[in-house]
Amino acid sequence: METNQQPAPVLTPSELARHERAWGIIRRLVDDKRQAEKDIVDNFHTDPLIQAAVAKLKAENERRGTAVVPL
Amino acid sequence: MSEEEPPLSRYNFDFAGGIQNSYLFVTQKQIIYEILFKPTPYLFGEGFVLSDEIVELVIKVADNPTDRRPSLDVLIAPTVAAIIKDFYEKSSLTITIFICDTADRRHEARWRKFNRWYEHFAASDYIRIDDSLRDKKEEVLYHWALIAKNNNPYLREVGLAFLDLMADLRIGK
Repeated sequence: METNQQPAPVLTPSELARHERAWGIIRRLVDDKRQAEKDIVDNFHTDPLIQAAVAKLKAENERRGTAVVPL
Repeated sequence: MSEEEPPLSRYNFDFAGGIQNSYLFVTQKQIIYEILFKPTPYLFGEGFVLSDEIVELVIKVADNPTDRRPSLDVLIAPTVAAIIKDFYEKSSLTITIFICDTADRRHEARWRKFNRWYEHFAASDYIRIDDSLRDKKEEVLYHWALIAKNNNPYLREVGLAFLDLMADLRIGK
């Protein structure tokens, strides 16, 4: 029986290594992003750097009477 | 204010710094967003000429006292755009990567949001390269974009490295 399906191309070991390395990078990018998003939420109340920045920002906004800045 | 008319204002923001180059802003509803420019030196290999300048853009609600999903806020896009510009003023060699995936089926909304931010950010002195690809192994679709300044002296190397990576991802297709 004839089908239109193309046979899977055979990759050389070098091609396969490059292909897998490239996909490894993409998956790592996504994993790192998810971890960073989780850390943002988890560390928000405990990270002194973040809490200091938020306090500064809120004080500035209160002094100015608004969080909005004209462009 | 309609979406077609660009807002004439944005939120005040602060650069907290740290290893991940963190920025914060607070909306009128007291929702706090954190934006990271997370160093990503491995993208084009550790030996790449600008590996220390490559960052991944991460944008996340850090604290939401409303306990409701944040509604559309037209001031967020110009705020994100202003933050990206501010970061490029600190380091004009920066290469920014933004990636989103289909894992939770909300990727299209995230990609549209990114494009909205970019519309506000877009200036003639920046270049953006996009790609979309499907991971057959995990049945996930990825959208990703690279942003660099036009006057980056290594723009050719950056473009070629991105194209090489795209080609390697497609080997055998």
